[in-house]
Parts: sequence; C-alpha cells; structure tokens
Amino acid sequence: MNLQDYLHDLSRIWPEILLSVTALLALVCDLLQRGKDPRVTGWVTAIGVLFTLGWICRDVGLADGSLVFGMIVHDRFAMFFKLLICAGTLVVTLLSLFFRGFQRDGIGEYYSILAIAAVGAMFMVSTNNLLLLFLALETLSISSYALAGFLKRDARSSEAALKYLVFGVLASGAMLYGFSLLYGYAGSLDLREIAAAIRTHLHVGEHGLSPAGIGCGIAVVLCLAGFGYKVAAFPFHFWSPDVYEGAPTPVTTFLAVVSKIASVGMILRFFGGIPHDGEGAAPLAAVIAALAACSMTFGNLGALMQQNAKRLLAYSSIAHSGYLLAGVAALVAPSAAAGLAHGATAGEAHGAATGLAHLAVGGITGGQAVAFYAAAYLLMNLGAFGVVIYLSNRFGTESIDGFAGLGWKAPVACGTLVLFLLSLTGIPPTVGFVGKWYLLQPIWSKGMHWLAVVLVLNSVISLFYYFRLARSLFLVDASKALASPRKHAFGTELTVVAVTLAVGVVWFGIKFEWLSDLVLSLRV
Amino acid sequence: MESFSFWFFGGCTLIGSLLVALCPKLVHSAFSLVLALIGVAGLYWGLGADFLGGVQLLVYVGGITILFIYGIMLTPKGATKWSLGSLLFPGVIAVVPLCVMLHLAWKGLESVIKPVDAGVPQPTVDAIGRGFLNREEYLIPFELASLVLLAALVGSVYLARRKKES
Repeated sequence: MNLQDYLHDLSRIWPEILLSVTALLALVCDLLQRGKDPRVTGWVTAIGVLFTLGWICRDVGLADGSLVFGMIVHDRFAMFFKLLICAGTLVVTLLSLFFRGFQRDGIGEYYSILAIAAVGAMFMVSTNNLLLLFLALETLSISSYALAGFLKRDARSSEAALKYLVFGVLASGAMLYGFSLLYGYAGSLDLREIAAAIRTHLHVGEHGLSPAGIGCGIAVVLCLAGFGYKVAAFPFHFWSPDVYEGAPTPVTTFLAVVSKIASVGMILRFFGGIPHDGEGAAPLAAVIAALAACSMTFGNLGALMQQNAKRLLAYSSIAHSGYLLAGVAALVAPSAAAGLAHGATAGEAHGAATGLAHLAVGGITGGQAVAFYAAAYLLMNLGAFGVVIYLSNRFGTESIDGFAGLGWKAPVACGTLVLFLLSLTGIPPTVGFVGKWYLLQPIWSKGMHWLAVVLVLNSVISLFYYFRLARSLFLVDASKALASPRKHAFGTELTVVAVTLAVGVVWFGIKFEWLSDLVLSLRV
Repeated sequence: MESFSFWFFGGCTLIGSLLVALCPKLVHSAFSLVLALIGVAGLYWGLGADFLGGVQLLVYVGGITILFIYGIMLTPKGATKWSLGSLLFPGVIAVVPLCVMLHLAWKGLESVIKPVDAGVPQPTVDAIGRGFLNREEYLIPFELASLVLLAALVGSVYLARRKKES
C-alpha cells in the first residue's frame, strides 16, 4: 500500500473530513463550555460548515469523475449535491442559532449531531456502493431521529422523534431486504452493475415479465419503499406532517430540505445508470410516475385544509417530492424514439417550447432537471421555513389564523415569505418557475404527457393554499392581529437570512444561465 | 453432513419463527426467537460464513433477545387470544409473498443466480479484518460506522438524560 495513494484519495473527500472534524470540535467545545452556552458551539459549527462550503466551491471545477477508496465517486454530480447539502446545513445551523426554543443550556450536542447528519448526507450522494449507501443513509436517519426529539420538554417533539424512528426503522428494514435481493440479482454492490441488472431484468418481453423480472421488480419496489420514506412520497408520507409539526422548526427545515435533497441525489445515483442508449426500464418508470402523480395530488389536496404553517409546508413538501419523482420517472423511462408505443415526437416538444424560446435548452435530461429543481427547492423552502421561525419567534404562533395581519407588523420578512410562496407555486420571475419548466421538458419529451398535465394542474391547486397563507398575512386588517411582538426574537438576524435567500430566489429566476450551465454539465 | 446441518438448522429456524408468531404469551415468543436466531446462525456456518454466524449469536441471540425480554418484563402482561378471524388477514399477507418466493425459487432463480463451488470454506475473519483497513475495500464504511455510533450514542444519552428542573 502506498502512502501517496492514500493522500490522493483523502484529498478527494476533504469536505466530508472537514465536516466530521467540525462535528467532533462541536462536541469538544460543548464539553469545554460544560454545556452552558450552546451558542458558542453553534457558531463553531457554523464556521466549520462555512469552511466546508468554501472547500466544495473550490473543488467543483476539479471534479474528474475518479473513483476514490473504491466506492466514492468524485464527480460534478456529487460536488453539486454536496454544495446544496452544505449550503442547506449552513442555513439550518444559523436558523438553529436564532431559534427561540434553542436558547437554553444543555443542547450543545445538537450541533454535533447535525454535522454528522450532514456527513451522512454527503456520502449518500457521492457513493456508488450499496453498502456505503445504506450506511450513509442510516447516518442521516439515526441522527435525524435524535434531532427530532431535541425539545425534550415538548411532548410533541418526543412524539415526533418516536414516530419518525418507528416508521423509519420499518422502511429501512424493507429497503435493506430489497438491497439484499438486488445484490443477489446483480452479483455486485456496484450501483452501475445493479442498474444494468435492473435494466436487463425489468424488460417486458412478449410473455410479460420473466420470473427473474418479477423478483427483481419486488426488490426494486422494496427499495422504493425506503427511498419513498426518506423523501416523504406517497404512500410512505404518513409520518411527515406529524413529524414536521412536532419537531423543532430548524430540525423540520433540515428534514424537509437537506435530508430530502440528499435522498433525491441518492435516488438519482441509484437509478441514474438505468437509461442507456435510449433504453430504460418502462415498468419502473410507470411505477415511479404513478407515485409521483399521487404524491403531488395527495400533498396538495392535504395542504388545502391545514391550519398550522408547519403542517402546510409539510404537505407542500410531499407535493414537491412528487415533482422531483416525476423527473426521476422521466430519467428511467425509455426514450420516446426507442419505445414506439409512445406517441411523443420531437416536433411536439419543440412546438411547446417556441413560446418561451429563451428557456428552451433542449436535451435536458430528467436527472439534470431534478438537480436544478433540487437547487430551487433548497432556496425557496429554506426561506419559507426561515420566515416561519421568524414569525414564531416574534409572535409565538405557527397557525395560519394567528398570522392574520402580521404582514404589516413585519413587512420585510413577510414580503420575502410571499416571494418564497410564489416560487413554490412556480410563478415567474422566480427560480421555482424555471425549475418547473425544466422538469416539464424531459417529462414531455419522454412521452409522459399525462404526468406533465398532472404536474401543471397541481401547481394550480397549490396556488390556493399558498395564497391563503399570503392573504392571512397581508389582506387581513392589521388591527385584527392577535399576536403581540416579543423581545429577544432575533428579528434582524432572521430577516437578513430570509432576504439573502429571497435575493437568491429572484436572481436565479432571472439570471439562471449560470445555474443551468452547471446543471447541464452533470452526467445524469 | 452438509445437507443434514442444512435441514436441521433450517428446521430450527422455521419452527422457531412459527412459534414466535403463534405463541400466545410474549415471553414464549421471545424465547422461541432464540431458537430461530440460533438456526440462522447455524445456516450461516453451513454456508462458510463463520464470522457472520458468530456475530449472529453474539449480537442477536445474546443481545437483542435479552433486550426484548427486558422490554417484555417492563411492560404490562397480557396473553393474546387467537381466533380464526384474527389470523386470517396476517395469514393472507404472509402466504402470498411466500408463494411468490417459492415460485421464483423453483422457476426463476437458477437462471439468474448460479451456484458456485466454493470448495472448502476458509476462515473469513482474517479477510474481513483486512478488508476494513484496505483503501480499495471497506475503509470508508468502517470509519463512517464509527460516526454513526457516535451520533447514536450522543443522541440517545441526550434523550435519556434526566430533565433538569428549572
């Protein structure tokens, strides 16, 4: 064994190492403080995450697709998702620092576990080995179970942690069973070979699926159960509203944003090897498309009658999982030219695109569209949760009725919230619109027209409840505002975070070329 | 000899699992679980996975079952009464995948999974130990496992720590 090889490989996983060191530093820092002032620990963590983020930004251009340690891919895709994860973790750390419920002694361990969760998330998106994939997923999951219960005095927080744990362990078990079957079918832990095995076996011949295809299908469905649980997609979404509502809001933000984006990255890695020379796995695409359509519809319909802002955002994030999975379905579907049964032609897609010619990039793959939407989702959802934290800090309420008239008491923060909601709906000139537009292209060109229609209809439905939230903030008379502002609410700090994210949402909604160029250079 | 050990330990596993599902008292179920898990350990040994079999014994038989029994001791007692109706639904859920799996085992799997002649089984502990510390093999999972354990430890200590009165 050569020391040079070791050092070379280590230099490719510096972000993970830095973040692990940050986690340990946070633990030691908390120890030195004797658990007194968790804010010091929080700032140490924030600085560590910031360093990691800087390192990743520096490294994005260097990614060469090499394989280090036999199972970690150092490519642009991994770096892009690590960038999102790290940026998300940084914002979550800041939100935790400014969260009123965390302003007491003895919660310093929180930051350490948060950093370890982020390390797990980073390995999830960068590995091509089934074993490390599972281990990384469990790193994220186990840390998240603990994080969800961090407000011990709040019974709802403990309930959230327990629910998350019980459902999560069940989903992990099902997924692991699927993994073991897939290992049997592929004879390898390498994700590319597994994807090749799925492509070969899940091929509908004249006599339908072969027995091996049925077995392989069962394995993939079991894996989908685990993945669907992590991204809170239908029908594995039952835990999410309760957990999102009960968990401390910064943790909810972490689960809804960082955890979900990491899982989407993992799904793309897992299924990314399936499309090959126009071939794909049609049955798998159909299953994922159905899951996507149901997630969107159930998420949006469920959100319509929510009273709690966190629950509303939970249902909205179920719907967004649906949008993301729709892109995954487009990724694994065989291309329309290969599958003659589908009637999609390039001309149709082109005709739809001419109206917005400047947005038509042509040839964006499902995976790239999902990556772009993940970036958009990061910005707008972090922002929305940030403002919810702001409102609950200052006015002590999370219910939509309680928000009545608050828009005029805190115009800047609430103004940005309206912007984030517009972006979540997908209205220009926000990044959410560009993201949805990119998602629709591969879905349409792969011949899944019905899915595109469902997606657009769902965006219209979502407008109702997002608008209800905005209406409560601004269109209800300010004199009816029930809540009175509290002191020491970190109003300024949180407003700065929200405004920064809002600038990002608008900036990437107008000048999205940089981001889309980056996304188009990803090989998924 | 090989087939005897397979049928013996396979039988242990099956009988143990059935008893787990059907025993009216939870304690009996927990003890039947010991039988089932020992059977699985035996199957591992038969396949030449000596380390896995040992871990199965130590962790599952020695650790998890003890935890189960502790859990049962600390919760209120009560015997489950079986009736035909209450067994019907779980029975259907169990039988359908079983049939699918049997069908696959008979028809499909041999075309996919080729039996390998592994020869005389070698001890695996040495290879596992080297694999954990080999750059090209399982170094990273080995290191990451330590982080998972750290997070689990810190998290569970935090959650289990007594609340301070304030």
